[in-house]
Amino acid sequence: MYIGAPKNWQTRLQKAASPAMKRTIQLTQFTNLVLLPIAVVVPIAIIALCIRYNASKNTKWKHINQSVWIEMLWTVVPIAILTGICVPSLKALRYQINQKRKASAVVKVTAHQWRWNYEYSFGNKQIKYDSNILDESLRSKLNKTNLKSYPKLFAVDYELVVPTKRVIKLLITSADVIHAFAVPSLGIKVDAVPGKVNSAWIKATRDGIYYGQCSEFCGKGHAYMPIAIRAVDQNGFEKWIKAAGVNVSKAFMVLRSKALANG
Amino acid sequence: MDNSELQAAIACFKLYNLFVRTKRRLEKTVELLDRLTSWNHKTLGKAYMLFSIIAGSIGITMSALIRAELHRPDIQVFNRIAKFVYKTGDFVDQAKHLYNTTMTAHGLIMIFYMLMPMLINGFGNLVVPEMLGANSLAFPKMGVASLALLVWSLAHAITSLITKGTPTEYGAGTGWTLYPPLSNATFHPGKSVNHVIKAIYLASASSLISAANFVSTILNGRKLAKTLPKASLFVWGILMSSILLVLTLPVLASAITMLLTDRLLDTVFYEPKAGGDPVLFQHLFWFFGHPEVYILILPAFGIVSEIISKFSNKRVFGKAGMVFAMGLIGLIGLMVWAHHMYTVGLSYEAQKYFVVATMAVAVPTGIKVFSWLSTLWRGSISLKAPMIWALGFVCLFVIGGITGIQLANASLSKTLHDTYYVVAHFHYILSLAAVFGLLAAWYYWFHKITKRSYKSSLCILHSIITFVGANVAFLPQHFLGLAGMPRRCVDYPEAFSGWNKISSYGAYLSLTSVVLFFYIIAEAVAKNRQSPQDPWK
Repeated sequence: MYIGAPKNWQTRLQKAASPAMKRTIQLTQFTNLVLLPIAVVVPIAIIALCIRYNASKNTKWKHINQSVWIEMLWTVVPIAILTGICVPSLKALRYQINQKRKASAVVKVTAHQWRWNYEYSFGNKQIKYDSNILDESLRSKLNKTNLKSYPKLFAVDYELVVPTKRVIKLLITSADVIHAFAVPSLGIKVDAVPGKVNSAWIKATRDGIYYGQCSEFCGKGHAYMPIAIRAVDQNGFEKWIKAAGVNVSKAFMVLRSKALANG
Repeated sequence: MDNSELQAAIACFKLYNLFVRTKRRLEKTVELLDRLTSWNHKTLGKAYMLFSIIAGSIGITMSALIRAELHRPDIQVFNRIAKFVYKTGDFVDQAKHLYNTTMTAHGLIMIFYMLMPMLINGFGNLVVPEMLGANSLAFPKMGVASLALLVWSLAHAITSLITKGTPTEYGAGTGWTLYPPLSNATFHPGKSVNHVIKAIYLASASSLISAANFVSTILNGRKLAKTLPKASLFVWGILMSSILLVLTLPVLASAITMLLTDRLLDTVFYEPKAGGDPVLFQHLFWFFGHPEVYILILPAFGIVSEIISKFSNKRVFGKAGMVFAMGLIGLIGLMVWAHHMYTVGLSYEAQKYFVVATMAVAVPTGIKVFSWLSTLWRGSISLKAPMIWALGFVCLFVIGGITGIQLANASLSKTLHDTYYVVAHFHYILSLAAVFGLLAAWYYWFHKITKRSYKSSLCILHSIITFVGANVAFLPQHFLGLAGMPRRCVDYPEAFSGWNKISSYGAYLSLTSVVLFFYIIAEAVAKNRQSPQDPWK
């Protein structure tokens, strides 16, 4: 089963599991390409200048203390570079915010101190459950003993279930203080503000579990309210909705055993 | 004269006596107060520096505790501190709040009580009058009042640490940003947050007074158009910082006033259930908060220009451009605050504006960096100790600036906001660049501060250890942020343990550089190596 989680010692963004994240990674790579050389060239230039113009080399140089054309050059060139960064950046931003496609499901996400609550509504079926950090004592009961699939401080008891390859709309708010719903591999981070409903969209490109953590300081349990999104195929999702309408934990048991069977 | 007339005469005489005595007492008191507050501006500057060093020591101790806790996953350090403080209870649970309080205090102390007093008030009071050919600031007694307010402010900040924040725990665990609702009376009912707010009020008042003082000193005299362009870039930096302070501190005061009345008087400015909006606080706070970081760095810019010019034996390249750039940084800096709020749910148009405006700041900043390089070009460079620090500043500032440009992108911010990438960015700008600027000035004007000269080789060792330690501490934090580690977390999943360990090692190394800082002072004073009037001739 694919797990969207960080790996120890990684130096880059997590691998993309959504088209939005793919664009984010591309933009990061592009800006790195443009900006990192500057961070390398400046120290080298300083060292080179210090060697070349060292006071011990008694040469008398003619001092040039101003030059209009060079000042114009180093004003215009950075403006050009920054515009070059802005254009794809704003394009990516528009892609993240303006999602015109109709969502195949809408989930209401409510943040609490210190857990998440997910709510689905399909016709006359209301599904609502809390998602707490996985208590270590519940691992065997919930069949979540595999630490790679269910890492400590990431794993939850009941994940947010979504169908793969579909646009899902999330309506995010908070019941107490400001939190933030974030899943790096899906490229989403939205603040959960009390009194405000922020909407966002995700689209998981493959089955798996995607992990994130609360991303706005919310008190003692800030590090202990992870987010887990379990993406299953459309069929599995519909079956889960039917089962969850009756009994949420039983519906999850079915999902988990299927996932284990598929490997 | 009969009896009643005599009595009236005696009464008049007694009244006159009383009047003369009281007048004399009042005059003596005023004279005493005058003597107590007529500090020499250099003494005042040194007092600020001492204050900053003391506060900085507290701040860095807190950062050492934080890095010790984050050295490994799980909670190992703060539960022991909790045991020491609380004696009973769930130590792991108490440790979480204690960590949050320490993290909050670390930010507040380093910004308000370490960087600002040293960079602006310390060096400002020490050298700005001389640079202007004056023998004091415009209002010398205001300077003393400003210091008194700052000391009182620190007292409140420390009081907040020993007052209950929540019903059961000490300290304000809100982050230095104090966002409601976490900082309101529902979630922090204790008095601790009130003390933090009072501390910020007093620090704001202190900064406002000293800013007004600096502006009055610098923009003084009739021949301003002739004298101001000749003034040192440090003077310009202080002037710009002071103007920014005057423009933005009142907005911070308004934000925290509404927070205070929400807490104490049941107003509902930030209470969503009554139609208030927590995001309003964020707008107001960051309207101050963003210019604040430019307030911190502009004096450092001035210092670095001074030093690079001095040790290249060459005037600063394009001084007019440098002044213009500083002004533009300050001006644009006032218009970019919401880049701290890309994830709260701003409209697309708003985010678009803030992306472009934030990127725009990179242009005048680039002008400054290129001008420094051009000052070196064809100069006669001597790599004395302050020059090493100043050149280090340029390198580190560029790195911090680069990550800033990346963070300016709202679309990237959706992945990087509130992660360790942001922590790495602002620590590169503040804990590396601004501190390097601070230490460059410290070693450049050491002879003015202590009348002694330090051992140059020790100073260069200090710069190397600080450079290595701080880089080892903060470079890995970029990787942690890219991997997704959120900030302000007391504990983290195993997958973040590798780089956290390295970062903590760097922090410990940086601590040794702090010890070396004190040793250099002690050695110079003990050896009583008298310094010539101008050691940099």
